Amino acid sequence: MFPEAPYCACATPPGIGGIAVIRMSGKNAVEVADRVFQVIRASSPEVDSVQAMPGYSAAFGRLTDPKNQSVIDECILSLFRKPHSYTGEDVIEISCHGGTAVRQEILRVLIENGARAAEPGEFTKNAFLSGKIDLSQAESVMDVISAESTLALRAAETHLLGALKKEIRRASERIYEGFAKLEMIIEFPEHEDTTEGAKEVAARLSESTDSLRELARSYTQGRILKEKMNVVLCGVPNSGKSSLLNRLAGYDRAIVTPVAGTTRDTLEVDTSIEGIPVRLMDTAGLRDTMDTVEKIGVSRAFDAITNADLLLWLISPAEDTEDGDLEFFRRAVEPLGDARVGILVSKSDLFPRGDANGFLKRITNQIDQLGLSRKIRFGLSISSETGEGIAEIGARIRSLFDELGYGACRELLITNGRHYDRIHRAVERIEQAVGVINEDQPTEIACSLLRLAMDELGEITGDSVNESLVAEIFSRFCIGK
Amino acid sequence: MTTLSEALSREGAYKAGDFDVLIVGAGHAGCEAACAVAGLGLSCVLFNLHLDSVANLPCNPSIGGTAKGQLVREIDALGGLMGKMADMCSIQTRMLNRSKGPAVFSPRAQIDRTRYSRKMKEYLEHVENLHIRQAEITELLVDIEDGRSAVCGAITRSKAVYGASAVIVCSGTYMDARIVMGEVIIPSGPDASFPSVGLSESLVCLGIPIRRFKTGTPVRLNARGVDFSKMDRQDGEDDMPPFSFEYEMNRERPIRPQMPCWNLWTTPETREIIEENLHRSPLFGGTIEGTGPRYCPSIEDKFVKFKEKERHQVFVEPMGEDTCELYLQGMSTSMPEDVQVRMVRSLPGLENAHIQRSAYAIEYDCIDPTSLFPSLESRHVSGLFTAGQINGSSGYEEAAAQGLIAGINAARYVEGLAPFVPDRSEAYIGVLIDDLVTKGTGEPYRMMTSRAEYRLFLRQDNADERLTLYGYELGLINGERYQQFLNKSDAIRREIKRLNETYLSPSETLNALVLRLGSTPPSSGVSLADLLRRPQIHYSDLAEVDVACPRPEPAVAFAVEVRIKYEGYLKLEKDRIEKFKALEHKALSQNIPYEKIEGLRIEARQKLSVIRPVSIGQASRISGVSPADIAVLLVYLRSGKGGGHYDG
Repeated sequence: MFPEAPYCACATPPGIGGIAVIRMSGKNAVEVADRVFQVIRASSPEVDSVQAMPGYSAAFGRLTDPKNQSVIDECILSLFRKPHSYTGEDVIEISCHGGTAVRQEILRVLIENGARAAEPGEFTKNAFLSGKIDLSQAESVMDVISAESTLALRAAETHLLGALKKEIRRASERIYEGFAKLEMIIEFPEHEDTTEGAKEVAARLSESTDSLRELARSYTQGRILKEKMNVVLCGVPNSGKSSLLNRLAGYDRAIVTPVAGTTRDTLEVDTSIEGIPVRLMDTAGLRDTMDTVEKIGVSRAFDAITNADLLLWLISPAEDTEDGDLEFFRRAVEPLGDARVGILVSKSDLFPRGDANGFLKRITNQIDQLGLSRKIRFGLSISSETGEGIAEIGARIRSLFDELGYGACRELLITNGRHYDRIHRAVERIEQAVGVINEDQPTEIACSLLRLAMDELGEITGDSVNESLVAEIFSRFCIGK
Repeated sequence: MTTLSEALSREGAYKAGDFDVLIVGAGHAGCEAACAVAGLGLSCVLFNLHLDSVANLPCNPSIGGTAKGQLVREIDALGGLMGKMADMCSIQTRMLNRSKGPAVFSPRAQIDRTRYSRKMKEYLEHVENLHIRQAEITELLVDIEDGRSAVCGAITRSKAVYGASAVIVCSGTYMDARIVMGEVIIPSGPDASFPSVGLSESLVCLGIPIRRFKTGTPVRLNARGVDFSKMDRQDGEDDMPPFSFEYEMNRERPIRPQMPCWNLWTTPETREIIEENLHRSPLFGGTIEGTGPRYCPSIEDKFVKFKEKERHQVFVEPMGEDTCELYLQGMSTSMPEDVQVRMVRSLPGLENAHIQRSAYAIEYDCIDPTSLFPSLESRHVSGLFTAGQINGSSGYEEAAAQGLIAGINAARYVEGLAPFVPDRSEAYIGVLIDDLVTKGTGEPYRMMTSRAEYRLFLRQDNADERLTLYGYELGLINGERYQQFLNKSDAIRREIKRLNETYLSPSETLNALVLRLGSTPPSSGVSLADLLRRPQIHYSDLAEVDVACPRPEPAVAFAVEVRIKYEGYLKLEKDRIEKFKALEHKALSQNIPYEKIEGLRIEARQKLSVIRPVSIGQASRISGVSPADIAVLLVYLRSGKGGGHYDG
């Protein structure tokens, strides 16, 4: 089942860090390592090769290219012998100095000496296949692989500890309690032990979905960690959008990766603001135009807005607002939820302080008159030139992120769409079941919906509905011959 | 291990006959098995320790109930006996769960115990190809070929040697049984019968894993001296449809009486007596080693386990038409006799009751059902089948269901045909057998509707739709009965079509009807089917507005209503069934070297090697086999290393 050539890849996220870890796993990992690694110091003097190292031990040494004996790096090599490793196979981890060139050189040398490049997620797949981790853990690890920011990493690590399973099991307990009660009503119809009204059970079932719902809500936050928060910059032409984009993108220049512009006029940049992965989108200036290309740009801007987590509406006091601009504003904010728009009065450096503030006030009043003030989250006066207000934008993004998760201090986040879907569907089924009971429809339908709900959750935890249910029935009810 | 010729060389031994199939035990499993074998045209001999206790009901005098009623309907749909017998011997009938929805409607009948046993014996005596014989089988005989043993007959205590190509053991609670009443322990089968001695040892010699289970039964008392005015009376319902599909459409069903049952509650005194004497209960004193069931604890178990409960419910049930004996459901106990008397007399209305038979716990040998193929054939000995309580189940209906399947498969084994086993999406019988052979059981296994994943589909009303074609193809359902089934299906289809195509325009009569039923008047024309989809409206309600109603048989009307009302939910279930079937149809060979598959966890390797699942679906239900193991298995099979092991 396992390929003969060990597979290798960089285990730490791309980007510049102090240390990077190269991982190699598979049948001949030790042999390949010995071809390129010379032990300098190990747990005992007898250890002079990787082959001689015991499992769970590390050695300091030199990684060289056998072709020309050139030293690539001095590093620490750790050995995990099968089956006591992440993948269940022999695993070698090489901790080297961070830096793209070093990493790529090491990978190249390993590959030239018998290893092959790992497929995406191959370590995790084999860890999963050798039973080292379960499906939900495996999916978490997949998330780790692509986690780009520190926060995303923390959310993914919590998953690894099975926290999601634990949380779901805790929520399931109360649902099973109600489920078992309904089943008892069916199973032992003549027993008065089981005559508690289905409606009381329904009420408690409904309550017990709260924690699941909360968990599902954390997906929005989790999704942002994984897929980035969409921040869209919008406004009439020449309102300072592009300068702001450059300014924000430069906020943490180290990990900015410009994404190829999807169109010639909507530019996307991935960056990290306050530790939160953000996708900034610069859009074409909004105005009525006869130019075909520009028209397309405007329509794409509106598309981008539809997916925005936050819309930054830029307006410069240099231009006097016309009614038409506010009409664009109205159309732009229409599809957004409440409090998802930030009004930015740009180019504040060009005006006396009081002017910018007064201008912001005027705009806010106009928006109020349109009945759109509920869409506004904040108003700021900024300057991409001097940096005024830029840190403030970061803080506002952070606070929106916290709010989207409904609880800034929640450690557990759902970052995986599959988990979200399942929890979401489970909650839906439970709600349907509660509805069925409250409409006096047959108990068996409610039970069949609850079974579907618990099946969904069981797909994450790996628990079987039948066994859980029967155990619950027997532990809680006193039925006998 | 003994061969046929070795057995014949024993002193006094003689050859008594040769049969295709030999069946040990004429309880509910054995009777179904014998009729199936004989019905399929093979010769069969059926042994029982005593011919007056054929198909005995040594515990509760009833058949059916939740999940069990569904089993009886399935047995009948496949051409088995239990439904017809129960219809002929009922003394009270009720449809349980009428308010919980049609899928869990569960027919139940109180049964005249001695009549049932007599009727069954009489029936068996008329079955062609079947020979019934009072004798105790003490040892199974085997041939060894290529290191594998195959059963070839059995010997009785009186040294009669019978040859057979297949053997079905349905030993119930008889093997090395002993009954326990407090400090008193007596080697005995149920109801003061002889235990079966020697057979269990013979199974051990054949390498079959034996375990010890325990069950119990309450006291029987005389109705004279019982003050029924202190109890709640529970009457039967005359409109419960028969168990048997044969009586459903065009035959006169047997006319039977409706005798009442009663409910009562234990008193604080009952609790006191039990608590005072707990030290004398063998369950707590450690005399009983067998594992008892969670779902039917003795009354002392109940008070110990559920301390917060002040009182427990007791049901008083008649044992028959020509007896005063009453069964006290809920008072199963292994307390000493003197405590039993005090306990019973602490119950309201039973202050002066006379016990006729004591309650007792019974311990017996059974096998680990994970040593069976889903066909119920042993993995250790070819041609040896087991059915009923010997497989770790509990209940007459569970036993009968297995007996029928074991009978069918023993016959097919003799004829060299592939086994027949309904799957979990087709029948409760499938759920029962799959649970037993895949997961095993740590206690006597009772069928429950909660164990079925596809409960909306596994209904008592459509057991014929699910299984009668199988019964016909197997050869257990005759042409007349099959035609009757086709007629019913056709009537259901036609009526559903008519309801979907008959539209009503809003009218005063229609509005008045729907308002009266608590629904809202339709704003435009509606089909009768649309009306029926509303939860408040039932088929019988439509009569007022449905002038052209063909007045179908009740069974047809019921089926039509369920199918229309539950259409959406049934669709949901059908989708799940399809997914389930996909895994079920990925067959696994019996020769896969699980021990050698890298990546399978140790526990999974062991479990898979022992259970040797027949499909990926079955493998996935083995406890200790994780989804990761299944993924490994799938990868292994697909990788070519498993070439030839996998056809899916």
